[in-house]
Amino acid sequence: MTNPSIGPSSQVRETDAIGADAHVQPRGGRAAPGRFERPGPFEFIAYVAALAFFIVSLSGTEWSFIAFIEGIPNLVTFLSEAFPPSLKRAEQVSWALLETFQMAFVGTVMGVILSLPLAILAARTLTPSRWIQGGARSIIALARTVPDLVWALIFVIMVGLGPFAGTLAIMVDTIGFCARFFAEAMEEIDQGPQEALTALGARKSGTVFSAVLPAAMPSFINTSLFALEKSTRSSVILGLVGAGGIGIELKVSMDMFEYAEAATIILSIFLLVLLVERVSSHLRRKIM
Amino acid sequence: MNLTAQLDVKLGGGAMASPSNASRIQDLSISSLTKSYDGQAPVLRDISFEIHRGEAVALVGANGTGKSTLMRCCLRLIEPDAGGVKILGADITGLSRKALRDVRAQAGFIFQRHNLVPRFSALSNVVHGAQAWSRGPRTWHQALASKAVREEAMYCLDLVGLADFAKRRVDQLSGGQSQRVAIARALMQRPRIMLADEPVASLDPKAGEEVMELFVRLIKSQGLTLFYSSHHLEHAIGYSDRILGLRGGVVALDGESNSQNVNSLRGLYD
Repeated sequence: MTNPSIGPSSQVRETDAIGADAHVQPRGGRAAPGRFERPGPFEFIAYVAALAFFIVSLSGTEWSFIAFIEGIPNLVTFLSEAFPPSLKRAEQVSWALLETFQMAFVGTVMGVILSLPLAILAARTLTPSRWIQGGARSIIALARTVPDLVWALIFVIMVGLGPFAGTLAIMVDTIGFCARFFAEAMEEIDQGPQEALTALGARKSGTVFSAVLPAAMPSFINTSLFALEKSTRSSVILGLVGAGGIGIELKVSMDMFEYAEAATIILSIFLLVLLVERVSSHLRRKIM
Repeated sequence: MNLTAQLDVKLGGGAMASPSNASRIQDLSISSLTKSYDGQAPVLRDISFEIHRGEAVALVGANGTGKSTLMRCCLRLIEPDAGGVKILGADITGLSRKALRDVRAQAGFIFQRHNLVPRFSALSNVVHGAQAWSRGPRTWHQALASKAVREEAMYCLDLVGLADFAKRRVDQLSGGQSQRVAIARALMQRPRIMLADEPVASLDPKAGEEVMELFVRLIKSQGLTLFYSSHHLEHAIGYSDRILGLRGGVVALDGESNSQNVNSLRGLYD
C-alpha cells in the first residue's frame, strides 16, 4: 500500500511502479488532458453532414442487402453455365488478348515518352517559369482527372472505332499518371549534382540530362511499370466503347448469354493482368 | 615535428609558393558584400578582400558565420544582397545568364559533399566537367563522349589516382575516392581558379588529409588560384599562403599563414 502522506517528490514504491497496487493515490502534479478533443462547432456540423450524406447515398445507390442475398442464385446460375469455359473461340480470344496488350504497351510507351518533357516543365525545380509550370500542371491534371473511358469515347469520335482509339486513350491516361509522378520524382532528388553542374557552367539541358534524369531514372522506371499494369487493366474495358481490345469480345459473349465463352475471356484477362503484374514486379525488384 | 611542419615536408618546402612571387593580378575580388536570408540579420556584412593569381587562401570560422554562403556568392550560386564580386576580371553581379555560365566554366568548385551523379561511373562524372567548354549531348555521358574527351577525362582520373576505377559507379566508391572524382571533374573543366567549400569535412582524418594534400598539390602544379574554406585549422595553416577568418559575418582576420598558429585561430571560434 502507498502511504497517502507521500508527496510528489517522494519515490514511488516498487509495487506501484509495476501496477500491483491499483488503488494508489495520485502523486500530485497537473491533471492529464482529456483523451479526446471536443470538436468545434464547424467540425461537428461537418461530421453530421458527412454522416447524413452517407445515409442519403445508401438510398441513392439502392443499397440493399436483401437484393444482394436474392441475387446469389443468379450468380450460381451464371457460374454453372460458365464452367467449364468454352474454347470454341479460343483463337479469336487469343488475338483479341494480344491486341489488348499491344494497346496497353504502345499506349504506355507513348505516354511515358510524352510525360517526360511535360514533367520537366511541371517540376518546380526545373520549370523555366511559373506560367509554364501552371500550364503543364493543368494539362497533366486534365489528362488525369478525365476517366480513360471518356478519353476512349472522344478518340472513337476522332479516329473511329478500333484499337487506335483505345491506344490514344491509354496514352493520355498514362500522361496523367506518369507526368505527375515524374515531376515529383525530379523535385525530390538530391539537388547536389545539379548545383555542381550549374557551378561548372553547364547549361540547363546539360544539368537535366546529366544529373536530373539519371538520378530520377529508378523512380521513372518504377512508375512506368505501374502505368503498364494500370494500362493493361484499362485496355480490357476500353473495348466496351468500341476502342479495341478484348472488351468487345466479352461484351458480345455476355449479351449473347454465352457465359462459357465469357468465362474463357475473363480467365484470359486474369492471366494476362497477373502475368504483367508478376513481370513488372520482378523488374522493379531488380531495378530498385 | 608539428602537423604543419609535416605537411610542409610533404609538399616539398614552405607551406605554399610564396605569395610575394605570385603575380599581383586579382583573380577574385569581393567588395562590400552583404547577404541575409529571409529578412533576418545579415549572415555576411560588408565583406571585402582580394585574392591574387597563384595565391592559396583559406577561409576559417565557426559554423553559421557564412563561410558556405560566401563561397557560393563567389559564383552567384547564391545571390548576394549587395556588394560586388569580381572573378577572373569579370564583375559577375550584373552578368547575363550566358555570360555567367562562361565565367563559372573557368572556376572549379569542390563541395563539402562530392555532389556526383550517383548512378553514373567515375568516368561519366568526370566527362561532365567538359560541359564547361563543350556543349551538347556528347558531354552528358562517357558513352556519348568523343575520343578526345574520354582521353582527357581518363587523364584527370589518373591525376587523382583513380584511372583503374573509371567504370566503377561512384555510389560504390568510398568518401575519399568520391571526393577525388569530384576533383577530377573540376580539373576536367580546365579551370583558372579553384574554390572549395570544406572539401574534406565529410571525410575521416586520414582520408581528409590524403585528399587535401592531393588537391592542393594538383592545384599548385597547375598554377591555379585557390580559395577554400576549412574547419581543420591545421589544413588552413598548412595548405595556404593566407588565411581569412570570419566571425559574426565580418572578416575578423586577414593574415599570412606562416604568421598564424592553431591557438590564435581558435580565437575565431570563441
